[in-house]
Amino acid sequence: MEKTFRGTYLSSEDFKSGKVLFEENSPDMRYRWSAGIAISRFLNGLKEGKIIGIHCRVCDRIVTPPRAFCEVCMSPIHDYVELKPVGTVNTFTVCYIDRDANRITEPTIPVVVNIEGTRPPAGFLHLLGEVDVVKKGREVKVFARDGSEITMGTPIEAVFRPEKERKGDITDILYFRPRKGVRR
Amino acid sequence: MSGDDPVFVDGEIRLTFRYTHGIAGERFALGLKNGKFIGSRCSACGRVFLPAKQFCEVCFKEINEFVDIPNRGTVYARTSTPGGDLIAAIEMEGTDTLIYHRVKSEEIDTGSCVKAVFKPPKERKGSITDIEYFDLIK
Repeated sequence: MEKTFRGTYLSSEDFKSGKVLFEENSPDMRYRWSAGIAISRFLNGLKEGKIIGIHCRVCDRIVTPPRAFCEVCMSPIHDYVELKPVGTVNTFTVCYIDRDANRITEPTIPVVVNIEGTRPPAGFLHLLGEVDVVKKGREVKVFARDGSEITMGTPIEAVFRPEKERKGDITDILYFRPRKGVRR
Repeated sequence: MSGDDPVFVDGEIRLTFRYTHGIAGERFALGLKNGKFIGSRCSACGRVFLPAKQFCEVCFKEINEFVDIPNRGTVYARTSTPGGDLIAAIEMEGTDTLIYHRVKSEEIDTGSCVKAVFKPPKERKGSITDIEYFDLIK
């Protein structure tokens, strides 16, 4: 049984027809979010076509994106390192919905990238490009242009936007693509 | 090594809301539209609320009795805003509450007898701003 509560039920029609009095307001809710010291270094690095990481001397870990504190030993860390804009596929998926959860026909391929030079392997989420999605029944596979299948461990490289179009944003990297002639 | 300039992201949360006055609040607002004050009386403690309330805030009893309040009141306190508006807390006759609004002139102060001056009927929308300001009863 549907539970009903005391009160006055109103529809949008009741507002349009003037059945009820109401006040309308929209607060000005603009905000400015600061990326912080470490992520600012990372984003400024992307603008220059570099991937910046950070070294924790206590743990001897190298990770990217950089962070101001090591989340393992809690030490403040300052040793920024430049990493190559290449890595390997940690994991990926074929995605048939967009960011607003609308169904799309051309899938995107989100990929977790392990950036070369990190230890233990670390990286971030981005997109895979210059690949082909092949559907066979319920099976979906992704292939590089040379016909080799994308799997965990496939070497990939960042494709940056032209320098003038970069804004210090994660989208300064357009996507990652399979590295030609590089074997795992 | 790359620059240290802090990076920031600008964003905006778009929110629009509609506030309805509720049952008692709507009676009060419609009263203003008709140039009248409508309050409500608690049957348990006898307190009279203006604007009308649906529940007594002292006894938590539901209120069903709505009463017409005459357009006469006494200034309880007055101040001015940095913008130069004169505002006052006004106790309307026969009520146990204060309402807040603009008053017309500096000569209106604590203890003054005042009445609401409403906008012309066509400009009223059922809002507290249907009252232009409070003025002295001469």
